[in-house]
Amino acid sequence: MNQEDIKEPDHQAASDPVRHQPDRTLIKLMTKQDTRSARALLVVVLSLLVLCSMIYLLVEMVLEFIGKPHLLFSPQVELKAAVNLPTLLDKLPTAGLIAIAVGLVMIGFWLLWKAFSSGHLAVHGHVDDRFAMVSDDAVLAACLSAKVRHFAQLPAGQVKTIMAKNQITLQVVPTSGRLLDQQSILEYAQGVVEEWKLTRKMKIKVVLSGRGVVNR
Amino acid sequence: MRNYPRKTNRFIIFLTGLLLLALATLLLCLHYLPQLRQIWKQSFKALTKVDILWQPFSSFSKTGPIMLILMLLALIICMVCLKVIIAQGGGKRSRVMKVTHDGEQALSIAQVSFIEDLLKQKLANPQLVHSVSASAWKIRKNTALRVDVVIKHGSDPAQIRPILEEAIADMDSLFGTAVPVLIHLSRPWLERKAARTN
Repeated sequence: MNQEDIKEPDHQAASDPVRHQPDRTLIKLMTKQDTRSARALLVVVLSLLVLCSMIYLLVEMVLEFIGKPHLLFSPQVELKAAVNLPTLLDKLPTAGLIAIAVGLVMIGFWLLWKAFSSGHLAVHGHVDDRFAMVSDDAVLAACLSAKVRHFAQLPAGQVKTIMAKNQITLQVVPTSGRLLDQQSILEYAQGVVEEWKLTRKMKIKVVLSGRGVVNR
Repeated sequence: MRNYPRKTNRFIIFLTGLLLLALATLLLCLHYLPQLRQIWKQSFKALTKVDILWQPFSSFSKTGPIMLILMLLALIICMVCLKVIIAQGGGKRSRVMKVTHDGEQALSIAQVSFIEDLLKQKLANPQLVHSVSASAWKIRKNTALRVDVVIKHGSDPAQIRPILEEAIADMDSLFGTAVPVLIHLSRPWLERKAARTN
């Protein structure tokens, strides 16, 4: 263990049975980091692509340097291709060139969007002072579905919850011959979500299916 | 909680996006603007006329210093890429507790496995909790504990919260200090692929 990781004794807080609560900003930071993507996979893929192409170029250049036969293209040929790029582009059909340019623009804009977007993961944080707590959307959706199903006295498979960043959509399929009150389901779901104390304010939407399921 | 260079990652993605846009613009401009094509050819021709860059070093090699410069450039790019890949992650610790006993100035450190066993004992609730695992990570010069709690299908996080609070409070009182903790609630792996229907 690194010595710098070990904190020095704090004499000021001697009387407290449990010393200093963790920093609130640290708790918030942990919640934020666990609910947002670090974009590590994308960066690793991009780096690997550049790395592989650079290693290939290096191998070709070294082979050329020591006078050995090249693998695919001679670096001299590659350099000449760069010099004659306009001539090479002329050989390409215009439609093909436009397609390549459009592809590059689309990937470029997608990367820019990835860089600027929040990178929200399918995870929601809960408010707490002592510890950071996050739940997978699947956990919250399964819980809400089960609770609403019990509240509306519906059989299994008739309540579906879709969790988004700021919205929860409850898709309820009624059983034939029984009335379902959309407002009471909404109020009940709001109560359940409030109990979770999520860091984000969620908008809840209840969608009652027009088609019912035959009661067995 | 892994130590990702988040800002650097964003910058790399942003830079790559910009480079691709610039490349697309360059290709189209070279195709449609004859003046730019002229400038391109002239500048490369000027570069090829600098003999010192292209003259072979000796009979040993056919290539000149230009190849050496390009090799160095490629090597630098390779090293930067490797550094970026290696920089992803890290920061895992095997010990977490940093307990200081006043007066005596003693220091006790707890292994993560010990804390994990403790939490498993405290969170043993077969109706709600499926499994518990713990790991320690360095976050902003602090060692924080990450507790992964796999809960039963349909379990309520609000119902589990008091149990977690009690377990953490017990852990705090046992060690005499409050370590930063992150609790992650998830579903069993096999259930994750199932539809969110109940």
